[in-house]
Amino acid sequence: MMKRKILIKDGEKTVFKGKILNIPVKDEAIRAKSLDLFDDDDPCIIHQSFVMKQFAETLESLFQENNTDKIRFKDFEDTLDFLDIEATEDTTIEIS
Amino acid sequence: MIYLDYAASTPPSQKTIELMAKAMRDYPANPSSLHGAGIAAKKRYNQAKTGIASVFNVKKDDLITTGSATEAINHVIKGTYFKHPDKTIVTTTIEHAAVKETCAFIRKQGGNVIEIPTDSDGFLLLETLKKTLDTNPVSLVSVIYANNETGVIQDVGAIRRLLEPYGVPLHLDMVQAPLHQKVDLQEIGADYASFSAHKFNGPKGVGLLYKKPGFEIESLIHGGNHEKERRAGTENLAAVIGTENALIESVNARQAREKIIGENARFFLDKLKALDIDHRLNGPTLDDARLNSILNIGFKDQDAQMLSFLLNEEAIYLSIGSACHSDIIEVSHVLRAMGVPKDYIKGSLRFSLSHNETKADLEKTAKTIKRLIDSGKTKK
Repeated sequence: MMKRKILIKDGEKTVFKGKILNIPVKDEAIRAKSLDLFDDDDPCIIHQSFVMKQFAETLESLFQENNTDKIRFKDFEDTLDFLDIEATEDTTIEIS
Repeated sequence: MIYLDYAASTPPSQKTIELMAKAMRDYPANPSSLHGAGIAAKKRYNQAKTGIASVFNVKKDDLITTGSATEAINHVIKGTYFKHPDKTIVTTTIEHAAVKETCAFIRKQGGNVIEIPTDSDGFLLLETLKKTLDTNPVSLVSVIYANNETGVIQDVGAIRRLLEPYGVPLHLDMVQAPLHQKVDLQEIGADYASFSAHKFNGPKGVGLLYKKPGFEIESLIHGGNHEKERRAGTENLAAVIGTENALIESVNARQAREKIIGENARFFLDKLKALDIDHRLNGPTLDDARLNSILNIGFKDQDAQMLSFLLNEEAIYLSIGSACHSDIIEVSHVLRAMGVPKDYIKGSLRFSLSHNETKADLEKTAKTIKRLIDSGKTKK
């Protein structure tokens, strides 16, 4: 997981490019996940990092389960609700 | 589930749980109350404390019951500082946070604290300790007896002999010891020693502080005259009864348990080797001056956080030695102090064993680590 890179594009525009562990995640999603896991809405950095890994794993598994390197955000909108992006019909996510 | 985090906490036995529940039913009164029910509770409390004290070969009244080992440690270090603010407190670079952060507090108050470094196996540099004693007015030396991250056991006899001419008291953080070793405080020669019940299958929320008669430190918690006016707060009778039982059970099972742990530790290390996993055991080799139950293993060029995260996903539970400081996750200060090589330190995990795991559990753990490393998911 550590070395995997994510490219989020909206049409031709790059929205995010970087390591999977650095994907943009909504603050409220981190808080909600932390509440779910630890019953703590103000997690320390170690717990935040654990939560981020959970989101990264959710994203990575989408590619694995669908046997593809590229997905359309809209096809997995509910699962990827944690991503802090302004998605459109043209938003795609690639893994490498 | 494969639980390899016994250095973090150990489960109470069914008998301990039942004894505690029974105590809560049978002794509802305050042990300090001077009526029949209170006196009965006090008597039972003193009996349990006597039982604990006898395991450690000390007198009941030399033990102070606290809410945790952290509290016991705070009591010794702050209590010493408040009594002797102009003197130096000496500790080591490989202490548990309970000592490390208490010493940081002392520094914030303007006190002087010196940390003695260790060699690459984690053993205290005695020469440096001697020089420190020669050049500073020292009020206390606090040393972790068996390290919680590496299992390294310090040469307390040598430390004790070094301190004697200076008349400096020795505090030992003995939290990891009672489950695995005989703890005879007279033989060891500690002036203060701290313990935690849940590290030897006792309940959480109980610590013990041994204080040798003749040493005076300030109390930290004031109120009633509990614990001979050394630690106020209503006695936690049920938890102390549970602690006594857990300690006695741990002594009775020790020989058989340590034999299994030693065999399992060897088996696990052999498996890692057989699977050709690039790793190093941080600290001395098995059966050296160490607890065989704590294996701190560095995996070359791996990210320990990711490894432990993915092991957790497969229901294999263990710990990493990192801690959070402000907004960064730092690698273990213990491993840094020991000078663990850069390519292994960030990939270091603590496997803390008991007698409960089977060889199949350990083989599965080793194979899972191999699979995760080979997948490239955990590469730094």
